[in-house]
Amino acid sequence: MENTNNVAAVKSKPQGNSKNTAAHIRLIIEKILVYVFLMLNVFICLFFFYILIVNSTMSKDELQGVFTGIPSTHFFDNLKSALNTADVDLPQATWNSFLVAALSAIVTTYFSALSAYAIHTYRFKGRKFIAGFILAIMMIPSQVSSLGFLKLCNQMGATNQLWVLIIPGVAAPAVYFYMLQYLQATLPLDLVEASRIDGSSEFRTFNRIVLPIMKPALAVQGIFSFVGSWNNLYMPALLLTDDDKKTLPVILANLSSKAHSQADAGQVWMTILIAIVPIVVVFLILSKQIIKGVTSGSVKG
Amino acid sequence: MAEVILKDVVKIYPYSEKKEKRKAKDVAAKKTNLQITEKGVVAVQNFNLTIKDGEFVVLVGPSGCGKSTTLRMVAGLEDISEGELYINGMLCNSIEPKERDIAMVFQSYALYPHMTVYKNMEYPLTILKQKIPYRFEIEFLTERNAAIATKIEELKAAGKAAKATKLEESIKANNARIEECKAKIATGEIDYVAKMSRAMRKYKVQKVAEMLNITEYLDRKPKALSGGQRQRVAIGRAIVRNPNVLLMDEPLSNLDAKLRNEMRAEIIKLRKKISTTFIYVTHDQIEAMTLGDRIVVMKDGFIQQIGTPQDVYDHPRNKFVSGFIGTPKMNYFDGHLSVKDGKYSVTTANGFTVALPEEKNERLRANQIGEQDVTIGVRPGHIKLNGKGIEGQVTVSELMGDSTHLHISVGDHDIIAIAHNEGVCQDYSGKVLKISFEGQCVHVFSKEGQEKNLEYFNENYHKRHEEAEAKEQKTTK
Repeated sequence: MENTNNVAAVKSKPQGNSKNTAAHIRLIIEKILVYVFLMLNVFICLFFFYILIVNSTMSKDELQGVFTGIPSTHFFDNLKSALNTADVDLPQATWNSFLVAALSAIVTTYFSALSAYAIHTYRFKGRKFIAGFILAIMMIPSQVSSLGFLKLCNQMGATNQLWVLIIPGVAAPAVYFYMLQYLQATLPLDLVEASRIDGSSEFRTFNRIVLPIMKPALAVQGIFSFVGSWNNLYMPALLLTDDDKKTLPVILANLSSKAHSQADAGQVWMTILIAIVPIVVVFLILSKQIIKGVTSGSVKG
Repeated sequence: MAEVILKDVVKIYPYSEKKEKRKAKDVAAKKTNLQITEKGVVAVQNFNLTIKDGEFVVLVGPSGCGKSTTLRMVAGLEDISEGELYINGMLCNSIEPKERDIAMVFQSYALYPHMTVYKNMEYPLTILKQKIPYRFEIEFLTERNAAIATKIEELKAAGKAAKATKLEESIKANNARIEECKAKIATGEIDYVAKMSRAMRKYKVQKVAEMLNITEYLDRKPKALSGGQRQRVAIGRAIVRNPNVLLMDEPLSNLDAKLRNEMRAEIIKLRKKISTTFIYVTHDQIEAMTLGDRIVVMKDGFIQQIGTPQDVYDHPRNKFVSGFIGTPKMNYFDGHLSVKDGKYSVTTANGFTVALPEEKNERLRANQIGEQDVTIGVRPGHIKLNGKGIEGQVTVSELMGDSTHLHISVGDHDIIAIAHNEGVCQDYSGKVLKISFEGQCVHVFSKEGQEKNLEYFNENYHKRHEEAEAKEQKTTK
């Protein structure tokens, strides 16, 4: 009671009022600054999408003119030419990309979760060493190992095969590390023991009990590796030379290198637009899961 | 139902890394009084216990005494370092948990968070083949037939005679199976092992849910349940399989005090309904006293005493057991035991002398106990406030309702006495009282070694216990 009385007394004083208004104004200014900053951020993020969409509606000649930022009317012309070029088989490339991205996302998340589960649950000799070793692999850039990988593929005659891009996803130290962190925060070992006593085999426990609990983590890492694989140009460009095996980024690179001299710039823009659609769709559908997955580890503690 | 025998069971936790050996040693030595050997920290020492078929045994002791470790060894979640474990006559040292036919209720409930209550309880039934008693199958089929019969009537009313005749055939098949089961029972067979059908699983889960009053929560997920409900589900998941042995690891310690009392009563009721061997771990001596047929009191990895609740309370084998069992805690006085013509008496440091009754004299004589300094133990309820004996001042007076707990400062330490309020509550605080006790309520503990109860000083307790048990078994046979 006494406290509330004091507060009321302070508020009623004229001095207190002027202080309040000053604080109020400062708050408003802070808010305006924050919003300006955020709007700037949003503009930077979305501006390139806007350019992409606008450019994909323009004809070759319009694109060579001055940039106006106003959409034109050649959207469907570009779409037609993108789908019907003799140089590239866009639907086939999209399908290749999708196959590689989806399968490597599944393989990466499942096997990373599996190894994280093993490190988290089992107490075996050399456990700490293995955990540390996997982390140490993260420090080696992929470019370093790619030369050896490429040589191996060539010797095995495994170039121009899509599975060569999928199988290496089994070993993904960063994903493993994320899964391990997630498990440590969310999976009590009691659950595993309860499942064992209930009669599950170890794999059944993992598939039926642990995987469903890890759903948010699987979703996040699944999307990340899907996107990573979808955008990957480096390894596919080195390994895929047959036209019917090429993935989207490889085709895009081919197209845009041609674009300066002869190709239709509108067609290139359209191809890029088509290439990002699946990713945008995936993000829009699963954005809730992503946010949940990114924050869940920290919230549960 | 099964007999569980633990024979010289030892659990040693080895040091994880050699470099840290010394460090771990120091830490472990500081934390607990557990014995440390070359191999590692000994969590459970020479554990010998025979648990009879259908018995309810409670392992009780302070935290870190090895009771949970013992339970986990029975469950198969921890390796047994030395010794043998038999469940139902089968050596189980290196047998997987799922093959031991046990179920366990965890302190943290360990419910699968992504499954509904129904799925949680059904889960164990979906995996392994189960013992299906013929009686249960008959019950299930009769109920199913009743359900089908009502459906047939509905179909007939709706004019779908063809479907109705099909269902009638299934009733006939069920009836034939019932007769088969009855014939099996007549030949003395009780159950058979098979995978349960979906309908049978549903029936079984429903039955158990009814028994535990959780039918209305079957569609909920565990996070939408309160602590008590979760505990019921955890118990339900454990008993749905009719396990040989039901293990409970401090199942009530996550509940609040009121709920704990309720659930304790529930467990007693449950025990009457299902016939299974129970092993129950708790640090709460009230749970131990109320639930157990027998109590195993443990400390620092050693069994201190095994006995019925009454035996452990009335005849504690050492000072630790006497202090651990019973609330409020037993009072201790420094004193001296003297003998004259074979008759013993104790004198407290304050000069209060009391003669021991013949029953105690006999036991002391049998153990050839001589004059010595002792610790005298008296339970608070046995302290008399009758104006005679030792003088002390009441420092704290706690009103419990029907009684008042008095903390009385005597000499340099406090003792607790219970004053019964007969109608009127008296205010005792600050009063100077005289307290006394009678010889038959006195426990005399040695001041040396394990502070044994002198009445049982030379008793090889476990040996005698086993002999008595063997005798009992013979007489029952």
